[in-house]
Amino acid sequence: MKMKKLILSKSAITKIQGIIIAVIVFGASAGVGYWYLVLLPGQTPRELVVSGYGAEFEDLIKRVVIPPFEKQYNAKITYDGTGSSLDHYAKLKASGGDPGWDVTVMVDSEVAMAAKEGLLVPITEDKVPNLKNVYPKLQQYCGQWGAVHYLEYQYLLYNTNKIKKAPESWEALWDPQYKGHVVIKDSTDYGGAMLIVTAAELAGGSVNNIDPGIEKLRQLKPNLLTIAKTSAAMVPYLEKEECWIAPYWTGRSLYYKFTKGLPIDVTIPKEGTYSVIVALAIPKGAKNKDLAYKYIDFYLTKEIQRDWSAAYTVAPARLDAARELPPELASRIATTEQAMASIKHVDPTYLAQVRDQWIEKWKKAMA
Amino acid sequence: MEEGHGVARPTLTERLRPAILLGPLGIHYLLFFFMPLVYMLGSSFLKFESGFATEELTLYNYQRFLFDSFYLRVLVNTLAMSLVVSSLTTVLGYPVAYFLVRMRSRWRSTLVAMVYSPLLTSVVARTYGWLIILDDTGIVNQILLGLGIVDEPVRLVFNFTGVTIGLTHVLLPYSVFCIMTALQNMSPTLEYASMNLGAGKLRTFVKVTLPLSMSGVVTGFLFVFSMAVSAWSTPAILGGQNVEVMATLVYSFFLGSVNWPFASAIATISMAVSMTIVLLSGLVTGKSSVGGF
Repeated sequence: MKMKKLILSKSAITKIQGIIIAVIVFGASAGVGYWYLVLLPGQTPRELVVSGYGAEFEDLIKRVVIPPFEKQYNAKITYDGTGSSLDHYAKLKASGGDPGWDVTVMVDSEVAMAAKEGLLVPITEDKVPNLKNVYPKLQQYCGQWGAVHYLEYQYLLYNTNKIKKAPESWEALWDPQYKGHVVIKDSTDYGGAMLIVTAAELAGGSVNNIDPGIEKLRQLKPNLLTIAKTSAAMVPYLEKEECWIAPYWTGRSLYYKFTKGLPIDVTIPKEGTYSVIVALAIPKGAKNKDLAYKYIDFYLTKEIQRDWSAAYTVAPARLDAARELPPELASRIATTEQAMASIKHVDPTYLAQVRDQWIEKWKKAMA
Repeated sequence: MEEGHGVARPTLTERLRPAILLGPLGIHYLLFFFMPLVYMLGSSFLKFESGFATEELTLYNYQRFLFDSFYLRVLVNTLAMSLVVSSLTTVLGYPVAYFLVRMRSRWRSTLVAMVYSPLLTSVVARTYGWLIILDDTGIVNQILLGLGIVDEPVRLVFNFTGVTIGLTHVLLPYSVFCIMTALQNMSPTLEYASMNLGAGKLRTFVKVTLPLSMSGVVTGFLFVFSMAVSAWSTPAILGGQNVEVMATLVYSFFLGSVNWPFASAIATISMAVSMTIVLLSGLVTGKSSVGGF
């Protein structure tokens, strides 16, 4: 009120002048904001732009992988930790293969889709010699379009305060004594899709016949606390110890156990489990492909494979690196060819074809 | 039009004025709102095969939705939930708006700030807050159990109850502000006149205040309704496995199976239905209502 009176009484500026001043002020603030957010980052010197995941993943890669690489190759890495695997694929697709990164991280199903749409460049042994050391059963799912650099399994995670002895079978999820304390992931999440296959196998079906699995999951409903959309969304239930048992991925579960000290442990049930294969890929429009190949090769060295897996608590893509892991991690992952046999995987191309129907069937059964 | 000109023909600048004033925002809407909508509409007619959208045109995506009782139920549930939420925000928001407009205290601006303060926090953070308050071990259940009102925790989350509570909280400020705007435009002297002529407080409210603020009520109602229809994070977090709404369906097919054509069709249907409802209510309640804010 006071301000208005002041301006009116002095009549120092006319209406037109006021509008011009307003346009200049707002225009300038928009301009400065744009410069700071868009133009400035583009000008900073860079050699290799690496896209990955955020949160713990970003902290660890900036500690374990990036500094030694920068030192060895006298290179500078700009790290972009935004987005999930699917977001990376979506950005690749939207930009026609030139999202501004030289390397990105995606799971095998997204690698397969991006490859089919011609958005990636091939990664071969002559460019990345260490590719020959990647466990072949894993690498086959990405072919020449992605270099598998670690994998995660779907563990059966349980709260050690509530469940004293490691459950032996996936059937434990249906155990009535855990009523209201089971959390599973949604069918839109890879983990949910793998649970469909696991349930199908328990009920006499298979990856090619999931209907028994959907029926089996329908029977799981009374036991459910909730269905989480993402892995991160499950954490509050683990922390509050409302979730006693759940299918959960390697990296995060062990990270929460070892780093955060949550009262949880993990087991691979006797039926085996399904894995998610995580690969490095080079977009078609990458500016610095040579250095990108070197980065991938560096990631696949035994030392970095070991250090990365130990830090992120996941299984390395090289069995020789797996055997050098600290014992508390090595005892929970597959380190031998024999143990690798219990780690199953769904063909990504097949999954892409059936996923739509799986989601619809799941929704109709669970809603 | 400025008053002095009377019936004289408007000059060129005057005729161009609306275009100049609306131009920048219009271009922005055209590029970043209208064009994506056209793109979405277009892709809803594409055929999806073996995990990829093809170039072939089809009506199958609409057929799949409209001839399936499951999807139709999701649509009806979404509309019903939005109706409950917008009714609740209106009923809860009206007294707050009335109080804020009529009060003459120096705390008024502080209270107004408190009404819009929820908008300063991210919806996701607020929704997780509700989760902590409402779940089985949350404060609400602790109080109910402690007072012996219930023997077992009441399920307040992972169902439509939780989503309704969360959405009502998130959207309440919009309703309050729409009603406030209408009440502010109404002179309190009209109420005095009514009472002067012998009407009681209740009668004055029903006959004078409410009809004159109806435009704000309707605008707020429709505003909240359309936001509730498209809400995603609150149903996704507080709804758990038991709540499926249009927005969570779109999410599932857009990100889960990358079936962008079907996701686009669901989004188009959702938007078409809520737009029809908003426009029809605009027609029914009179032109002035929708222009109310």
